[in-house]
Amino acid sequence: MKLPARWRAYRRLRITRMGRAYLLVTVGVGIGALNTGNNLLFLVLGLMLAIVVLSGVLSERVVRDLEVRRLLPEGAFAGDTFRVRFEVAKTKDRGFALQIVDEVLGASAFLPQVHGSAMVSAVAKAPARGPLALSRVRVSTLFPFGLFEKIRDMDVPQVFTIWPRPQQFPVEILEGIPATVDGRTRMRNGDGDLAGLRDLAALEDARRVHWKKSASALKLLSVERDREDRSQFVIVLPAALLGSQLELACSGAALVTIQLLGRGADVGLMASGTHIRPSHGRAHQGRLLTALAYVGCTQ
Amino acid sequence: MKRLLVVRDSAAAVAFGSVALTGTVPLWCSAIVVVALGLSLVGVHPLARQRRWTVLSLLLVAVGLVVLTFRGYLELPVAAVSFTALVLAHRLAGAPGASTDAQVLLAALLLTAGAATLSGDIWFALCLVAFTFLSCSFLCLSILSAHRTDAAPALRQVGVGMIAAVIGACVFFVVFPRVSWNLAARRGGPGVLGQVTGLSDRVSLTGSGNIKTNPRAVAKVKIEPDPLVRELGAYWIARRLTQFNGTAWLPESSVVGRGLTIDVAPPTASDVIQTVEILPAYGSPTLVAIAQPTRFTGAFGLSASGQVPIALVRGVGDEVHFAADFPQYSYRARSSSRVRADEPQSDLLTLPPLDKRIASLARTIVGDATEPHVRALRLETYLKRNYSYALDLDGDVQSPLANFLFDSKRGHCEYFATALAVMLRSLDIPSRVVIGFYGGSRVGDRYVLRAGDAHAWVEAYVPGRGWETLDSTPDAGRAAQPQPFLLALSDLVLSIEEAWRSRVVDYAFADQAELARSVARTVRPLSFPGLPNLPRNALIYASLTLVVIVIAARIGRRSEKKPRHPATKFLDAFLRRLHRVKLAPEKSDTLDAVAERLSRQHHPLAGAVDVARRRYFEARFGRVPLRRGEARWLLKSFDAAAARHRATRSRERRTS
Repeated sequence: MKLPARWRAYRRLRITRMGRAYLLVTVGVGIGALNTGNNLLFLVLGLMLAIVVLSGVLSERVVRDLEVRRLLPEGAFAGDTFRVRFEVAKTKDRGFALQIVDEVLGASAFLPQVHGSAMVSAVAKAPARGPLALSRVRVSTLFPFGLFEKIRDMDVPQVFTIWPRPQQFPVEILEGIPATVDGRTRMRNGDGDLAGLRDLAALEDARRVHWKKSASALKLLSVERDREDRSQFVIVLPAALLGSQLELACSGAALVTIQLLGRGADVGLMASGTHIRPSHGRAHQGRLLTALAYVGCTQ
Repeated sequence: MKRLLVVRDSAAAVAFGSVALTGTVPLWCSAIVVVALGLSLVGVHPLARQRRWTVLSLLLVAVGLVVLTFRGYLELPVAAVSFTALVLAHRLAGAPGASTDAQVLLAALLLTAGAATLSGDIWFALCLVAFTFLSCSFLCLSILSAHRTDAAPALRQVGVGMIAAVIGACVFFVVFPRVSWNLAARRGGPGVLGQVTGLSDRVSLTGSGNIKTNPRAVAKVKIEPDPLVRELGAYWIARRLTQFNGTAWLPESSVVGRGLTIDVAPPTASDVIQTVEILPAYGSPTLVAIAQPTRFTGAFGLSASGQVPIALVRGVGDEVHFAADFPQYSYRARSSSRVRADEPQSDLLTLPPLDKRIASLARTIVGDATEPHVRALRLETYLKRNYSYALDLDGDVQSPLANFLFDSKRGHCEYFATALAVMLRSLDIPSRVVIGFYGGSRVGDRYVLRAGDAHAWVEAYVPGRGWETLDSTPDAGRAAQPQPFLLALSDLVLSIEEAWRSRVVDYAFADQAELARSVARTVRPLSFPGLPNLPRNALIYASLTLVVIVIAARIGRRSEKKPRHPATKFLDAFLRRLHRVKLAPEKSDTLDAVAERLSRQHHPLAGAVDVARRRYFEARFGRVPLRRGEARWLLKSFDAAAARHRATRSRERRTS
């Protein structure tokens, strides 16, 4: 039975090797003091116990009043390393020697001191394609004496998209995929003269946003500029693909997407009920890769 | 890194110092540790690469120490502490690293625990507190040192915490019940300063009197009834010397009696009772008491195993000394103010061949007086008035007494006593030299005898009057003559040591019970109508403790306010507005999720939320800071949109 969140212990304590030795000596001194009645041993024992209490109090002050925010890139290719940033905010006092670990990502970073807010980054490796559900971030500290490690698990739920790793199609799969040309669409998403303002579409590049007009209209407005004609492609993934074939297909589609967009073409996608109109640009590439990451995922 | 190692080595040095000051650690062991410390402080670690054979040699030393202990050459606590010290030296000489540092500090911690069993001095407390601060500072710095960061705030926190920890340790010490019989801590040896008393077994006229300037306390005495004077000005008799060889008064080693109680004269009801504690610096086994001692009893030798009753031995001339060797003793003595009238037991008129001028001078001084008492007084007065007191004397002379009387005319108390005794004997008045102490200054509720109070005077037998005390030393030369600053310092140290011993080392269950009774005692009960009497002391203590805790918490909570990032401030303000319109993200939601949800729902404020969200991220992480007034303008726009949304909804509700 899982206890309610407020009842579960939100601090854990790990005794370091030196802490174990220290506790052993404390017990020895305590036994000696009780056995002999030597007042000076009582003095030593009192001081050693006070150090243990002080260690607990100071480490609690470090992990208390702490907020951690995980800042991830838009996505990462499966098997590649990427940089994850943690924003740590300490609303009261200072924090020292903070170790921040995201076990799901396998990323860990060390923050020697935080007062107010601070940013620290770590390198992680993206596992398999698909949405990666991130939940907890573990914050721990050895402060002040390195005898005990106080650990606090913080709930920072987030979903991170891992894109399929761009890979060459096996020939037999390529033959099975028809290429569909969708014809020309809008001519007003180029870099030429100003043509007008329109609503910003979902997942569209935010650099086209006209901020002042958007604030006045209370909605995001994108600037339309004339563009030159581009070649258009739509990548279609058959619904029947499963397992390793699906992975290969997604990897190949990712490679094709990148290559075509790199040549200036408009690329679209049709897969598993997802239809993305052909477009170009970095943001559009992100949308396509994200859609490929979600192909075949039931959650 | 080097500075960090200095902190570590300082902690180790202080821990070793707490043991070394007891004077019980073998010299060779101390030398090894000092060398290892010195090398480590200058950054030399000779055993950095050689570990195996040095560990083997440590094991051999351990076996050697065990053998010495079983053979009785070393006590077990001393052997254990010595081995720990060698382990400390071994680790100091090893390559610095995380595990080595931990081992050094653990060995140092064990040394301080060992010092608690070997020492009873207040130096131990100072070393313990210093070691605690240094080692905790080192541990804190070592956690942060690998990363370039300002460690001052961390050290400040740890420093304040350490003060609280020391206070907490004191409270624990006072409150924790003493369930076993309290054995007094081992009384230390004379320590590194050694024994200094001028009380030797003979009086020789060939030395200087430098001891007179030494303020070290050698004995503490509690007197009943308490005379309540600041300076006692009493003669404390240790030994009587009767044989003079021309340059020195020699002791007689015959034993007259032995027992736990020695009566040197019949005790009386009006005797002054002294409880004497002989300190390690005393350096002599002879007991001392105010003139004229009648009884010595209740002698204990103080050691690691507690108080051990020891027998007393009586020698010739009523000298009493301890039958066993201990660094410290305690005993009780009784003294009578009555003049002793017992006939002289030995030949107290014998003189060696001396300068004939001495006898002639004696006859000249006494003149026509025939009464022995008057003669004695004239001799005493003459010497006191015509000779000066001096400590810096010339080197060895052929006839020191003749030189004193006829040439230099200056000397210390031994010269004055010798001259008086010789001249008395030359006039057929039996006399002897007495050595002991003169003085006694009050510190707390006891009287302290200092090394510089050592003194020599004369007892002369006058038929019909008994033994008279005669002191021909000028008044200024009798008691100790330390520098005033040294005297004040010595008194302060004595007071602190006395408080340390009574309130810490000898703190027992009875003291705890008394403390509990005093807290609960209703001296002047606080009574409120309808309420039972409240213990005043307990309330006062509790209130004071509460006040201290509140003040400490306020001081601890006061911290520098660092301004937050402007984008974060904007985000906080925006989140407050979202909360007002009931769109605030829940605990597990991010702002991204909120914006996405509102967009899916086609909420009228979705656009405004999206604008604010994107602008925050740009300003916080995208290096496009908010322009002046932009945050306020964005918030005002959102407020206006929210107001319009509210107005629209209320219109729709009225219409429906």
